[in-house]
Amino acid sequence: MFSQGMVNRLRAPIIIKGKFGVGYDNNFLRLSNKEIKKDNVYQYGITSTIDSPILKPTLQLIYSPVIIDDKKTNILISVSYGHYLHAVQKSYLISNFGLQLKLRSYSWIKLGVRDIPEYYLRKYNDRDLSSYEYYNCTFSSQKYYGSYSIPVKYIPRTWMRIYIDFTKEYYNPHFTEFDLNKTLIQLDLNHKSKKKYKIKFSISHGNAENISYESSLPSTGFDRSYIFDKVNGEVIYKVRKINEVEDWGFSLLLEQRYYNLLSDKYSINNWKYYLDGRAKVWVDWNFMGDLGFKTYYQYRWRDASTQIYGDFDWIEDIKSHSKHEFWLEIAYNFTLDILY
Amino acid sequence: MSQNRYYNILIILGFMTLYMGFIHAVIHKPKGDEDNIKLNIRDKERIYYELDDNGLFYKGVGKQFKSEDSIRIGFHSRTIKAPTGKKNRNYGFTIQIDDGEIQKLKYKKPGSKVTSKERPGWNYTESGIWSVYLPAKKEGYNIKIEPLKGNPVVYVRLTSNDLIKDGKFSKIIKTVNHQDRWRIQTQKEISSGKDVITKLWYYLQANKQLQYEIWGPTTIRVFTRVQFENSAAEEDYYIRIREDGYDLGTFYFQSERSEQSYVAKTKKTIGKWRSVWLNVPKGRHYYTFTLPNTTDDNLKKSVFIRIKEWEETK
Repeated sequence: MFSQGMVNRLRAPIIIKGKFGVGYDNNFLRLSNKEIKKDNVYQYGITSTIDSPILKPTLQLIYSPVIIDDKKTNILISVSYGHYLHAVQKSYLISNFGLQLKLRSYSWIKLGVRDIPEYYLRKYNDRDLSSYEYYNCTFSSQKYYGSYSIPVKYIPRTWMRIYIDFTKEYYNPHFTEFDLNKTLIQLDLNHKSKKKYKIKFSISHGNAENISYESSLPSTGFDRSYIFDKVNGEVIYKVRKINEVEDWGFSLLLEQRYYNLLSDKYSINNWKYYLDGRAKVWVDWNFMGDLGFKTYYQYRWRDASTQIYGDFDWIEDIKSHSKHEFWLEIAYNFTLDILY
Repeated sequence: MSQNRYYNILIILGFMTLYMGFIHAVIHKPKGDEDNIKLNIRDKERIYYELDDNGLFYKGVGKQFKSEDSIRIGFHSRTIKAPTGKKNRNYGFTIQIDDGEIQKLKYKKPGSKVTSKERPGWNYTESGIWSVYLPAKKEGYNIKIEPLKGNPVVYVRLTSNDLIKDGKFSKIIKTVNHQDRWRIQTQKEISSGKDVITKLWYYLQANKQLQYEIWGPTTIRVFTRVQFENSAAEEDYYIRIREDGYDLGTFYFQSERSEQSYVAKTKKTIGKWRSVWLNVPKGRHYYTFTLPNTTDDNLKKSVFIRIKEWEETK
């Protein structure tokens, strides 16, 4: 049986982090300008308006048993639910399970699984059935990830991290031709000053393999695999002069995707290219003791382009989109002593 | 004498010396079999007792000190905290000394680096300290500490120490203009008429001032005495002290008639001395003593001042 010492190692703190977000998304189905202005948006899944308020509660539980002496261990479980008030079908649930082991300062090994059982995109034609009828397009996503971070020698308070993930993104039966297995490798460089700021820069490269390519359905006649690269920069500035502001930050993410669109069906060498971006600015407020307040704005956009004389010259009008989001998040953390 | 006996006597003598003259701080253990924890605080182990629902009861706190001493009883408390997460933790408890009034103490404390080998994975907050200053008494004080409702686990460490400064007076400080000093005579034994001790004091009265030039950093003790003009048993008086022209404060003293001392020149009775400690900051500073116009009566007082510099033992 366990000795008392071993039992005490397991009688560790449990931190509960609760967060409630209230947001607004002005284009939650990511419709293009052409679709919004010229088409009947209801066929794409809009039930009332193209914008929607969102409610997003999140609950995270961190349990930190002492498994190895002087090495911090965290077991994390989190659940988050995004509820779209103007489109219930868009609501989603994200659950996460993670293990973290701190080896020394700025050095962690982290492993985890992230699951989204169903995520609604919008309505599309099912090209295996009809060009006129629209069907709900949803996918499930399971991500397995791991990372290892180490301090950078000779530069104080600086660390780098290598991150790898594998994601299974499988669509509902009408759209299985889009099924993907995605892998990503990412390298981060982080630095924080003693008092003023934190900066982060990361680059990543990934591959999405279209696993249903050339299966029995007609729609699987060309390869929807793609490669992608991301670059992300983030600056967080600690505010000392205003008591009510903890910090503010800015981040910019750019992602390029290149689809080769291989096919025996088409004679032309088709390709398509997406450039996605996300700019985000936020303020962490500090005016109510134990309650944390965060407000942020983010702008997301996609520019799509394709082979001019190819078979997919329609995508610029359909796939390019942009949207604005505004959020207020209220967070409350507390420690459960029940295991002490 | 055998060597063992010689060492035993040495040890006993050592303990006696410690008990009679050198006890400065005592860590108290509550009555009964209370759970405790050893906390690692800056690489030193300190025992804290868990404040359970039944509370903690301490008996005879401060009885180790001489009856004429003043003592400080320190209530040191901490609660548990996760190493990360919320910044501060709230906790509290009540204290009752002898059968006195119950006092509620509440703290909001951030985490610290204090840990315990017995409970890995937890940290303990910074210490909440409450001090009570009391005269020492032979039987000591009985203290009851009880938790507040809804508290997290709280640990308490009770200490007491005498308020005797380690060090000695090094010199008498004179005024800048070397004013005349008055003699105050004290008889060593009441009505024996022998062994009179004479000390020199500066005389302070209304519309006059005493000025001192003092080099810091140092600590000084300002002794004051008031001349009794009538047969009252007690007199009170105010002295205003300025440092480089800025007010340090107006100090209030209350003194009773001394049976042994009198002013040699006037043969009038003088009060027992009362004092105030001042910390002199680094550099050269000027201290001015006046009788403030706090009450009409105060301006009629005759006060005597004597300042000694204190040298702390390192």
